[in-house]
Amino acid sequence: MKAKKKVLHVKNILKELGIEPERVEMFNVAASDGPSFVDFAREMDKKIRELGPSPLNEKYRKKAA
Amino acid sequence: MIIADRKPINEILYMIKDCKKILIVGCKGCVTVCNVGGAKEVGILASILKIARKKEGSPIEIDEKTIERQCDNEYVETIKDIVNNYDAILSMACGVGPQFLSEMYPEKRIYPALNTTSIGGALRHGVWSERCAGCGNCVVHYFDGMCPIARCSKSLLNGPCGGSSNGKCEVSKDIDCIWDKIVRKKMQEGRLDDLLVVREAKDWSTARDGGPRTSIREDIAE
Repeated sequence: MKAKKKVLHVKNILKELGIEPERVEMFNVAASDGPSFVDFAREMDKKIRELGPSPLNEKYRKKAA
Repeated sequence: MIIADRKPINEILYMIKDCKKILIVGCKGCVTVCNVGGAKEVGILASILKIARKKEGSPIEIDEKTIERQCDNEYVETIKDIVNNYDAILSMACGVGPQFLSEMYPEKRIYPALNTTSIGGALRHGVWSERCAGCGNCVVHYFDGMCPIARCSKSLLNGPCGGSSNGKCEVSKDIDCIWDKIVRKKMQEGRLDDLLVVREAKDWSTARDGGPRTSIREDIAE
């Protein structure tokens, strides 16, 4: 529960900074549930690729400008 | 303790927009206790501001320092050797901090990172509530330990207004009507007659109405 609140706090900070809050997510996975871990990792990878490079990435910023 | 909230990031960013190097000064007093201006929060704000400025393409250098109290010159003085290294100082203390810093370092630009909200206490972890309005003449003993000046939206001293409904204040359902609590406690204790005592109108000259206040303890003042 504590971690969930902290993740939400970080999301709000990112939103305030104009950075997509979806870049941070929290998933609950049981230690024995390897397949779910893989699914969540794939989901996150897909999402990050869709979002594109971080706006803090200098090379990307220069290219965009 | 004094309770505060952090200002919105955009407001802080605007204050320091021309700065290349700043010092964030935290306070180990009240604002550390209410988790808004201690060493941890100073570190978080520094990270947020660095990320924001990096995103804008104008990186900023930020150092962090948290002192014992920003309301005591003996501690404010402890940063005298480093203040000149910065374009500005961002104070993470109550409203007293930036003023003491400005008085000690008049040549520096000092900005407040917090909004001071009230004098109060923690109801539970992460929740603080106002309890004192600093009126300069405490009357809580007349009201069974509950201050109607700080806790009644209208600061009424002679009973609830017509806006009291089911124990709540008309200003918000989240605010308890303190007069409801006072009357109930007096009834429970069989001392409702206490409220029939006619008291003289309160002398507000000890509060803000009398202008800025100074307390002098002759026995210890130097």
